[in-house]
Amino acid sequence: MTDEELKNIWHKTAAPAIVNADEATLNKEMADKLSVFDRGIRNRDIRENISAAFVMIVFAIIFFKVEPVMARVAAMLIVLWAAFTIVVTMATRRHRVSDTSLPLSEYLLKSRDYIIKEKQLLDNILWWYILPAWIGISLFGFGYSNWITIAGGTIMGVLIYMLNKYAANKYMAPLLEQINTEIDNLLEK
Amino acid sequence: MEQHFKDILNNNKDAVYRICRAYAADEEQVKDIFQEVMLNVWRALPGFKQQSAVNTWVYRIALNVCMRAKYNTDKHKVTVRLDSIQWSSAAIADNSSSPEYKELYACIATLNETDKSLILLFLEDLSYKEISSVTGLTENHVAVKIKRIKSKLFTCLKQNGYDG
Repeated sequence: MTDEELKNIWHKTAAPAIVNADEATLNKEMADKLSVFDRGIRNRDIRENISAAFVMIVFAIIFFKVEPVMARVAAMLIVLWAAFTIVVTMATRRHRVSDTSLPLSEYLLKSRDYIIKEKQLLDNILWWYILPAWIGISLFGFGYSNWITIAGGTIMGVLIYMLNKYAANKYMAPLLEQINTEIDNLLEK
Repeated sequence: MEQHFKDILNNNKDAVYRICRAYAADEEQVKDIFQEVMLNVWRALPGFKQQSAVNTWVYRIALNVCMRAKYNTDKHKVTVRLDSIQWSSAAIADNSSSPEYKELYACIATLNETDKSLILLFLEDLSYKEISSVTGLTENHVAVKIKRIKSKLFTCLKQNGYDG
C-alpha cells in the first residue's frame, strides 16, 4: 500500500461536510460563549478561594472581639494563613496553559510544568496549608484552654492530609507519568 | 475577524473533525472536542500573527485541545456548548462504516498519542515542514518518526488482513 492510498482512505471515508454552521448566528454565539467561558473561569477561581476569604473575614472579626492575647495572635495568624493560601493557589493557577496555539511539544512541556506545580501543592500540603492552620487553631484553643478545638483541628488536619495525599497519588502521579511518556515518545529520535 | 473565522471553520471543519474523532472515546466527545477547538480558534484569532499558514495554526490548536481532552490535564476545565454548529448524525454513521476506514482507524488507535498526532498530520497531507511547525520538532526528526510510524501502521493493516 502506498502513502497516497493511505491518505485516500483517510480523506474519502472520514466524514466530509458533516458540520453545518449557521453563519448568521455563529459569530454572535462565539462572542457570547467566550464571555460565558471567561466568566466561568473567573467564577471557578472565586469559588476556589471563597472558603479562604470567608475564614479571613470571620477571624478578622474574631481578632477585634476576643480578649485573650493568645487567641488574638492566633486569629491574626489564621487571617494571614488564609491570605497566603489564596496567593499560593492563584500563583499555581497562573501556570495553567491557556494558549492552545503553541506547538505540540511546547504545549506538552508547559502542561507538564503545570501538573508538576499542582502535584507539588498536594505533596507539600502539610507545610503550606495544614501546619500553619493547625498552629493557628491550636493557639486559639490554648487561649481559651479549649482542648476540643485543638483535637478537632488535629483530626481535621489529618483528614485533609490523607485526602490530598490520596489525590496526589491516585490522579496527579499517573497523569504526570502519562504526560512524561508522551513527551519522551514525541522527542525521542 | 468574523469573516476570517467563518473561512477558517469552512476550510478546516472536516480535517478538525477527523482529528477530533481519532482522539475521542465516542461521537458525543467528538462534538464536544470539535466545539472546544473552534472556541479556542475564535479566542486565539486576534493574536494570530500569520507567521505560519492558517491551517497549520488550526491543527496546532486541534491537537493541543485533543491532547488536553485525552489526558484531562485541566481538571478545572470550563465547557460550553455551541448551538449554531449543527451535526448530521446520518452523515456520521455513513462515513464511519467504510471497512477500509475502520481498519485504518483501528490501527491508528493502537499508536501512542504523539505518534497518532504525527500520523494524523501526515494523513491530512501536511508537508514535513508544516508538521514540524505544528509539533515543534525539526523536519528531519519528523521525517524519521513518520517513517517509523508508517511502518507500524502498514504492519498493523497487514496483520488485520488489509493489503490494499
